Amino acid sequence: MTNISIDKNNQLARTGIIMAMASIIMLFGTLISSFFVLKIRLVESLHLPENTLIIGIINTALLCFTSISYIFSEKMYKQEKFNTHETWLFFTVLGGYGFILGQWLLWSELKTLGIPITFGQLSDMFYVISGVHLLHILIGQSLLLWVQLSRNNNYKRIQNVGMVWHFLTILWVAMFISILL
Amino acid sequence: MGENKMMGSNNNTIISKYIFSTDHKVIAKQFMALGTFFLFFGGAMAMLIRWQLAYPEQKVPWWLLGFIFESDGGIITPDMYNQLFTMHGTIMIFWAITPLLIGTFGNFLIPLQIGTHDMAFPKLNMFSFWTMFLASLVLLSSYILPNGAASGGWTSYPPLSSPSGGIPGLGQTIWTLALIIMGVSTMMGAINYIVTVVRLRTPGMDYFKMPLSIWGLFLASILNAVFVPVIAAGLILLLLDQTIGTEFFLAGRLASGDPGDPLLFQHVFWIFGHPEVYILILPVWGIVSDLLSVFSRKPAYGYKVTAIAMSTVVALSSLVWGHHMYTTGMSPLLGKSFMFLTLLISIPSSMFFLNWLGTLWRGSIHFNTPMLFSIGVIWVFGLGGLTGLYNATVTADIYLHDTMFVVGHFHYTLAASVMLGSFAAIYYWFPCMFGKKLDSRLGKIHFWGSFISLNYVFFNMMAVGYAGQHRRIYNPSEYSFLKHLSGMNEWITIFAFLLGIFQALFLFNIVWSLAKKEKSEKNPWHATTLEWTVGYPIPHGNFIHEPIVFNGPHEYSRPDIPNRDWLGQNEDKDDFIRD
Repeated sequence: MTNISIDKNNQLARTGIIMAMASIIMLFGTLISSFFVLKIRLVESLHLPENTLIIGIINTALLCFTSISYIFSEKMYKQEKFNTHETWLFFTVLGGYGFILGQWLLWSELKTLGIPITFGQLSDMFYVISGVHLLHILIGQSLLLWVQLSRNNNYKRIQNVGMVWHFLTILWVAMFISILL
Repeated sequence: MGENKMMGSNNNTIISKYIFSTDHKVIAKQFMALGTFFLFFGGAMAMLIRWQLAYPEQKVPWWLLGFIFESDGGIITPDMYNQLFTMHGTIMIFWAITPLLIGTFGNFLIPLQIGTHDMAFPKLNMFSFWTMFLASLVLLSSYILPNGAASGGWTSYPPLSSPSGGIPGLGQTIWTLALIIMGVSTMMGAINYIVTVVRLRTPGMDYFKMPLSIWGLFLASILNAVFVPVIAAGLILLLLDQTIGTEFFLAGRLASGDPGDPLLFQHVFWIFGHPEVYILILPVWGIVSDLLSVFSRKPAYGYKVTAIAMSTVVALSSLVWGHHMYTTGMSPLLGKSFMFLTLLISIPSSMFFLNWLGTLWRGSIHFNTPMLFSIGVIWVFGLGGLTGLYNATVTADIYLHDTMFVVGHFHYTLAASVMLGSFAAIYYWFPCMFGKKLDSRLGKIHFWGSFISLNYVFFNMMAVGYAGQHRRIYNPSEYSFLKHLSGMNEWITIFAFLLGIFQALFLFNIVWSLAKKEKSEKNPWHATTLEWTVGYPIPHGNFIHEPIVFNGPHEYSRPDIPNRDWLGQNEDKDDFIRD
């Protein structure tokens, strides 16, 4: 594949990702709006038990860390320090697994504390929003693995995957804060 | 001039060439086959609905598939009737019109008319079709369930669509699941179309040199990408209500714990649902704008205004969903706001409507079959649009809401406009797609038969609705205030059957024309757009050389071009004059 066609493919992918992000914003925008409608209707807030709240905060911090580590990984690739790039990428992927595991722990803890799904509208909505987000994280994690395992990477591709991952991080932080407020 | 790589070499097997093909033209034909199947499937259900309304609780005759109802004494039961109108609406909107218009012509036209080799993501395109196919299988599987298919109406409002609130069985759940899968397919297609138009236009093909068909498809794709996720979110919540027992949309005695909000679903549904109307009609507006120009041998009047007006409609369409909910106890101030915004849409709509008439004005009109269907769209869309004003107005809508008037109105805008527009497109691009021309005489009979019968059916639907007939009533003859309408209902049904017969003629025309040996010439309509510069069969990869665009899409009857009344988009005017 020539450099021109690689550039063109990456450009197409970038535009596609931006469009997909618009669609995903609408999806989560609707879920969050529905959460607020139910919250206003019920005249109450979602109170996560302390343990789950801590897990949620650790998860959020972990996801933010993965975004930062990816930024370093991207920077190292640009500077052609490929070994350091791979190390930071490894931390990112590991952090991604950590987030998935963390979400699983969070749901288990909620269930143990007597808040299973179908407990109440707001907690149910928390399950749905975090679950749908996790599905997107799984796609993002697959992209990270693709970059990690691929032998013919290029900077634009790494940038594109980074755009997806940072977007999912920002989305989670925005949702987590909105839900808890 | 760049050179495109032809991409035929990898397509060696029948499976990779015709089934799991990544060629946009093959995928277009796959969507066409799927859409046509569901068009007739949904159409057959319409005939059964009409049978029940004209001859309530009488045995369904054999020629109307009466044997299906043998276990119920040969009649359509109330439950079956509910399933019929639910699945008719769902199938016609999502499984017939969407694949026929957006799937078929989006796929076929976008790369060819903007001068590129294929879609931006060919594999995603193939995946989009097969996801749609999977959604179709899921939807059809609901017919074999013990309680049958969904029956909560195409809107499927909870709590009616929830097992704890209304409809027993799994039909409604399967309906929700099928729609979610269909939504995934639609989003994949929409993103692909948008990226292709934004990134892969051939040199010289500015936005304002694109054919208006591409404008329509592009704008519809933007609406799809933005609003399908909204209904997807609503459907995910509904599916959870239906399967694991959440109560997002259950309230009052139906809710066991904290009350949910049934109206929330209605809002989410219509935030998507109203733009969906434009998703379906925008490609038709574009196609009609182009075809009127081709067959009037005149540039499309106010081309840029039409494109901008269509874009304005897209923007406004996202702000008007509340006019579907005037009777839900909405605050009068909110109702008035939605009414104002809805009525505002009539301004850009009128602009391109007048542009259509401007294109026809003093044109050298050729009444070929695609032109007849395009003119038909002007009439039916005019009537559909004007009757929409009544539904947009709070005071009138409170009386007309949920009556057959609404059914007549949206059948004029959605069924009649979209179907006539689709037929115009099929007759017009058939030579480009299949290398043969559809028979013109049969086409004209198809047009006049369809045009007269659909007008009779849909106009009189509005009349019985104005007289008070509810849209989802099972047996109108049971109500004394509707008894006098039975004759009218019977005539509507007779004309609906005629409408069905004329569609069978269309199917016959396709088979007959494909079987004919006579091939179509390369550019039978003397059109200017790029798809006609490539002879049939168009190879995988479309253009041997990347075309360069010099002109707009409607260069007809230019006084400076001698001996010819058209100038192709890729033809240099100066070269042509020198020739």
